[in-house]
Amino acid sequence: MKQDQNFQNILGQAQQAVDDANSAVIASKKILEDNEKKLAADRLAYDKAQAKIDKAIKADADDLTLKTLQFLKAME
Amino acid sequence: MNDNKQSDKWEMNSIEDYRGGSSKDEIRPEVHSDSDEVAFSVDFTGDNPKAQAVEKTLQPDTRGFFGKICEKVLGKDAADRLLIFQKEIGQGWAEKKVTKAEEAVGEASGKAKDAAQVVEKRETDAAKYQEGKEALGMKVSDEALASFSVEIDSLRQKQTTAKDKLDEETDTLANKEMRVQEYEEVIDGAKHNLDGRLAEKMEVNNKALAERTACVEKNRFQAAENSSKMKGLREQRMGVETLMKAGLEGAILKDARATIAGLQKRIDELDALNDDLGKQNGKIGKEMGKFSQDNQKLQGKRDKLFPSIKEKAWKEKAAAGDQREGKDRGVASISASVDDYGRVVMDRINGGKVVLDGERLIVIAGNGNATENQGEEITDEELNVFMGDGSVSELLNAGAHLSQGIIQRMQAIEEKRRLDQNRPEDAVDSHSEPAAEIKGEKAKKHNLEEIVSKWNRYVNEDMPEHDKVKYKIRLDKAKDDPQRLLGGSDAVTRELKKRLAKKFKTDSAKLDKDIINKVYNFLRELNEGKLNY
Repeated sequence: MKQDQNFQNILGQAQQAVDDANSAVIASKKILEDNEKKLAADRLAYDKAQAKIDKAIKADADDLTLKTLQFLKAME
Repeated sequence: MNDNKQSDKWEMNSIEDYRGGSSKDEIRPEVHSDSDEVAFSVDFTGDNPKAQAVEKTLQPDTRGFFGKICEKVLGKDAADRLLIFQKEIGQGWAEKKVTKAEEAVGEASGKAKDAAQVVEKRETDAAKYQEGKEALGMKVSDEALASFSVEIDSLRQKQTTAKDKLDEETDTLANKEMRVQEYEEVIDGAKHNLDGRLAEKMEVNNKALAERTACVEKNRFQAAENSSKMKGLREQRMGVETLMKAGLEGAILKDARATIAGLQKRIDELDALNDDLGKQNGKIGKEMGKFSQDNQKLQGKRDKLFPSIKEKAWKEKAAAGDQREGKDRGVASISASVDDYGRVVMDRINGGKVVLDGERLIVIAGNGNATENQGEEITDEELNVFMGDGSVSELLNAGAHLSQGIIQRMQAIEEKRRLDQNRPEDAVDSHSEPAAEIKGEKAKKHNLEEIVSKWNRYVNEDMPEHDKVKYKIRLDKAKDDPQRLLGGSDAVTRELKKRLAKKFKTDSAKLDKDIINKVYNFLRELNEGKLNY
């Protein structure tokens, strides 16, 4: 009887380890999912931010072109 | 993936800028009015109506020249374009125009001088003629006088015309010189604007890098957690298998088999999840590599706009072993900040600033003189001082733009710090020196037991009753060596932060500002020899 009890304890510990591992499985899946969602949102925000700066660079470049042509005209 | 396309997009935008939205097919031939040479002009102003309107008013040769410049900048990045404009238009072309105007002034000046001499000569001739006649007792006829007068008036008119021409040419030259000066200012402003925009782009990349670093860290942490669980599961499986070998029967054998199946299932699941976490990290790592490459390219563009003012004096002195010179560059790490352009800026103790910008370390002395080192020329000790007690992630989160090489070196320094923390003897900790130097004295060595004891007494005397317990730390007799010597201030700071972080159940980097200040105050009093408990 005592030996049976011992076996049951060992199996119980193993079952506990399985239950613990289950929480790690759930946590891992959640992290993977959350990361994907976060990365997708970050990518959108990144593209938006870079596009905004590129637009400003383009505006600056156009302004420089205009001022350059005005300079050329003034120097003729 | 959108992020990975960003650099290409940026390049495309740049090209679009140069092309004005048109393709190479739209390069149009033009014939100069004053030569047979065919000049090709790119449709540069296609989507810029204001510029287009001005372009249409240019003389053919100027327009042809502009067309050639447009061809030259085709496909070049914005920084190159600016530099080409500066060199070819602001300097080359403009200088020719100014030289031509100077020559015109010279020519007009010569003509004005000649005209004045002619007037003077004819006036002298008239006077001599009159004197000669009078010496002979003769009178100069009214006709002759009138003739001289008419001729001299005519010459004076020519002199006035020549002088007016000289004034006009002088005004033209002054105007051109002023325009050139104005255009130089336009170019300079444009360079600074572009530099700022490129810095913004780098900042966006750095933010993306920091976000992804956090994801990677989270995945690594979870993977380590999973590995630990898997190890536990395998041990349990072995335990049950050993039981089965002992000869189980009936219901217990059935339970044991079911348990092994359950354990194996979890092991397989965790193994697969670790694989997924690794794959996700690989994917994120590729993105991070792209951001870093983008930043290197952007930094390259910025460096092109503002080439470094390289002075080797400091480096030579340092190489000659002038350690004091090196120490003069030391700064209090707590004064580091990230400015609007993503540069990490620190005040020097003896005036001036130290700036870490991408791949460049610029030391500005109190008198404004600057020296610069790049890449490998920057020492680990200097990077260590910039990091202070923080991490590279903190700098990136604060918007610092650093080159990938610098980031990697800072990460290596962090790793070294972690190893040092666990090292039994860190009395010779090289990181301790700057903090000691800041206070102008050599740090004293304390063992762990002394520090813990002094801290607890400091807390006991200095804090309200209800906070004392929270801040007190203790030695773990099983793990700690009370006699372990701690080196300089950095080692003591790290030790206290590590223990307080454990007590407050957080990371060292996330400790409350009040706690950090308390540690610094303790350290100051310790270094000043005030804590003689």
